[in-house]
Amino acid sequence: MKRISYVLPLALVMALLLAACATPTPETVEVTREVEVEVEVPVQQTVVVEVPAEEIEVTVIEFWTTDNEEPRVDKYEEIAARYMAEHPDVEIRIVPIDEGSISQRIATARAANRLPDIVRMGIERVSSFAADGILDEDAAEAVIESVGIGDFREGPLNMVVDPATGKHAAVPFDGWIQAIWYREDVFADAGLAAPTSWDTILAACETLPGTGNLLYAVTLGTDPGQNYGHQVFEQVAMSNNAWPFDSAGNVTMNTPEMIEALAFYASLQDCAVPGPQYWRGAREAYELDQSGMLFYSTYIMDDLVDGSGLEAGGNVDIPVDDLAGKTGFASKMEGPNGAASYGQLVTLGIMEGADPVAQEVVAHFLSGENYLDVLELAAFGKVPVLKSAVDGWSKLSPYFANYAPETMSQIANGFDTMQRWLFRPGYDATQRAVIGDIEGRLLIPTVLSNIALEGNMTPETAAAFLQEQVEALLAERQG
Amino acid sequence: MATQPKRLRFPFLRHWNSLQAREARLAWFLILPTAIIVFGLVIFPAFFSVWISFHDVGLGNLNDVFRAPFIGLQNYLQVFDDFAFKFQGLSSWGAAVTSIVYSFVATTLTVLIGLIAALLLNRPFRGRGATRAIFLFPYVAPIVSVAFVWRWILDPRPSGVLNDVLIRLGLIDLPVAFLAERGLALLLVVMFEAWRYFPFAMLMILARLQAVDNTLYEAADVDGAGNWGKFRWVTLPELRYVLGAIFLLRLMWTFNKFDDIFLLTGGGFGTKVLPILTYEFSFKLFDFGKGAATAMILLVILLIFMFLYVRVVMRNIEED
Amino acid sequence: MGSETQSTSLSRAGSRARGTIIDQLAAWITWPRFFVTLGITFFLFSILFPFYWMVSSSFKTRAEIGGREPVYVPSALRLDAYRELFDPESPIGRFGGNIINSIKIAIPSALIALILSTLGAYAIARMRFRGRGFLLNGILLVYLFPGVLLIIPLFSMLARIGDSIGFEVQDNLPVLVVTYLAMTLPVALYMLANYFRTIPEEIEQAAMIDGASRLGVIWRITLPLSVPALVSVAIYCFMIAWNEFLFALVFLNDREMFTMPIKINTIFNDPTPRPNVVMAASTLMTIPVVVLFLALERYLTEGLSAGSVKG
Repeated sequence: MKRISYVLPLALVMALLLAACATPTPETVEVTREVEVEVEVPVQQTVVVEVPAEEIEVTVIEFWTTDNEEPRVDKYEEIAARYMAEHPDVEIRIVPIDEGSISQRIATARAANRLPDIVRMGIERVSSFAADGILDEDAAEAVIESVGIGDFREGPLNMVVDPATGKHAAVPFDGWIQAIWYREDVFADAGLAAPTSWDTILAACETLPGTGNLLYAVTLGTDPGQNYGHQVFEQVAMSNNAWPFDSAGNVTMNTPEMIEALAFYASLQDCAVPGPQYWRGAREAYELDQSGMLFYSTYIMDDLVDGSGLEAGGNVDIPVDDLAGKTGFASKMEGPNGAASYGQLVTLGIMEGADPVAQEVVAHFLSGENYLDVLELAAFGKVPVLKSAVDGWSKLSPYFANYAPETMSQIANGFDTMQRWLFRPGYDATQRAVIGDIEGRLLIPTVLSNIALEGNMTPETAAAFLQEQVEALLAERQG
Repeated sequence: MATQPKRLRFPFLRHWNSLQAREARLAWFLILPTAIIVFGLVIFPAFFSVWISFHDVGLGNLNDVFRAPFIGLQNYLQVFDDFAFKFQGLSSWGAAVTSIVYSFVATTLTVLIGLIAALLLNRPFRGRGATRAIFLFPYVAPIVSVAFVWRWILDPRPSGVLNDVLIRLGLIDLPVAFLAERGLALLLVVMFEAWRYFPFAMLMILARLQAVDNTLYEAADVDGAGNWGKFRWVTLPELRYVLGAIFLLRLMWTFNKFDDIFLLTGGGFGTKVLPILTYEFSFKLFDFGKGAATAMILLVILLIFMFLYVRVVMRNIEED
Repeated sequence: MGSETQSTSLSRAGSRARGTIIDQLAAWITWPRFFVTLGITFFLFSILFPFYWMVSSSFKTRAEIGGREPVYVPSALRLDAYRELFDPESPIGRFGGNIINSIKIAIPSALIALILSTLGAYAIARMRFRGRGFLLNGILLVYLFPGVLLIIPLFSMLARIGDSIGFEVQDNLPVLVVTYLAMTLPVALYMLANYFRTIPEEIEQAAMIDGASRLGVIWRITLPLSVPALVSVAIYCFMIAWNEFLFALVFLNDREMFTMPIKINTIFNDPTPRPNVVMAASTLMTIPVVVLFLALERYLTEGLSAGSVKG
């Protein structure tokens, strides 16, 4: 007993002490001085080290890639090796990294002052990283210049512009188009029209469960911890002309269009796989003949032939013959007030403090064969951003033969029609950062699970909640 | 430990070579490595964390934290006003209330189940040693393994065991996503905590039970007490102190627990407790000041509770 | 023990009623016994089922594991999942390296913690010196701080020190060992100190009078008498380091450096679901701790309870 009574007063005293230390005191100033001294030491050390090592001075370029599956990493390493063969003084380290952990890894790297030189990342991170000042925009500009600004598709280039500086914040690399993939055979048998509009989707929702082997019509993104729900919903919202800000810069998360979009999305849960779902469950349900529609990126295309799964044997066993051939592609969605398609652009960001060699390395990855080698890793999920690469890309995959030519051309030109909340012309840097925050805080998946699964929000209260939250985020970004 | 020796009162230097002084030097020498590691890696960072909570630390200046601008209580005010933190009615508790409810219920359940397990194992029977060892499994097995097994047993997909069993029994028609329903998810996380940590309580209680003086039971026998009477009037009073101490320890640990919920639900469906919120502020939103402020709030709640607990509950036990 | 007398009289009653097994059972069973048996069965089932599910699932094929209903008993002891786990070509393979990383962290953590806490605990338990209470309480304060509170400041502090002394803070197993020490030392110190107090001081004093030094006394008298507590502490520290998740998640970047928990988390979160591989990895990670516990259970109960219930 005595021990605990000792701990407690002490803990309280500590707490008081802590509070007292919180105000800036002379002690803190001393700490700062110490730091300055510490900084000088390594500089001197480097000088000492460099003198004897001048002959074989090696520049290390650390390249984090979210293309983290083993064969892809191998390919990146192979491409890097080609560069290193020509430049013996450069060592490129390819570091595979999980999409989900990238935020945390960047944070720890930043804290350790060990930011990588190049990071492959989704466009949604670019604006927030640019706002935090950890991207080297001049380096990105230089790479785009050296690869040839005219060779980039216009859509992707516009998306990476940092409105605050007018510069390109990162280098476009590849991307995919989102669509509803659906069972053309079942749709035809049941007399359903292709799911390209709210009406036809609702009709399918009513008819599909119980038709053929299907248990459900679709899988919705409802897992509040996953961004998938946001990706699907954003297309639904845009198809109803619902955007987070109006032209005057006011938050518009509670407009009738937004409420309508939320209600439409939630109503699909009646025919959807139960429980919190995201792309993994969605893909499985479609491949296993359990659901008849699938919101997914073009990445799915080879999986629909082979079954998604492993390079090293063992795939989802698709019980449907020629699933790919029976699958239709609906990238555009028409709503009551508009139409939209959705996609993702992936970029290579050059991080602040990166060695200038990093620019050459990025350009190397975007050049000729090297670029095609990257695209070949998942030809359907990596639509080229360079016009000069389209020809080569279209010959990359034997799976092309499984899909209709119109599907193919829709994909190749996908970047030109693709939309995102983030890149609505006229949004300034603050608004983009707020949209990044909406995704970062998973606000949309949170309300979607609240409406569709838990029933403790209605579309109206959810919209009010979103409005309040986004206004707060905006105020925080402005303040 | 309560009796501090008076010998130490002598001025230190004059007795540099005295036996006590040499003893003290040796003692310090023995304990110094431990003290340095613990103070350096826990106490100092804890102070540092307080400092961070009053500054604006983001990704932009994380590599140079000491230059971060001082922003007073702003982080705290923002956290208090955050939708994920504050209580907004019964359907959305917010992390603070969720944390408190979760830790109290989980700790109570853990101690209760630990008590039952200890009572079951207190009587000798064949195979008691093996049973006791098996009872320890949940506590010693890696959290990653057990969390993923449970997640999978509770999975809403057709291969989830619990759904299969309940459907076969005719209790439900369609699979339920157990870990994804507000309320149910929190309850299951609480039950998981109890499942995982009851062995700790059991061990402590068992040790105390075995130390209970037999004459007390014999006296109760003489008085004609039944099993319940013996438990109520002999066992329970003997266990009071242990139960109180276990409750306090487990509450502290549960309150600070991050991995279990992170691995089970990721903090969704009404299971977002303060440690998860801290992690999200820091590593998802890169607002390290807000993260630190959330952690400080967590700490203050814990301190207040401990103060009250030791003041009221433990004092009562001691006086009895 | 009261319960003992009761149970012996009951078993005598049982042996008197020799007859069929049913008779014996009927004579043996009493309401309290019935409830105790029921209770223990319930406990055993709810504890063992998840472990059974983990092990059995690791032997299932992909089809068995992803089917429309759960498979309770795998059709054969297939090692596919294990093969995939150790496949040097597979994206989630090379688990051997992760096992070695975990061993490289857990064993040094346990040994160093054991040595340091033995020394410290002896000082706390037996020696009188100024500041002892302060130290002990300060060290116990560690319990109060959640890991998430410490991780950012700890990380940036270590990064700074690393910068000036010249070590990497990320992907550095010794750094992880040191942080685990900070987590385990307080409990280890506390447990050992309490155990040392249960050893009669007179034995040590006798040895000192015979001319042994303090360290000699520790080595020749205290330690041999404290084996249960030492074993408990070593296993406790081993277990913490072996199981730890949050710090490893933040401190490790490179897949080759991952400890087992982080690797399992990565396999779990991989785009391609492989529940059987996750279960195989979990099985491999669970077996050593459980075996260790079973083998040393006798010491543990003694060591743990003597350490923590006193006072």
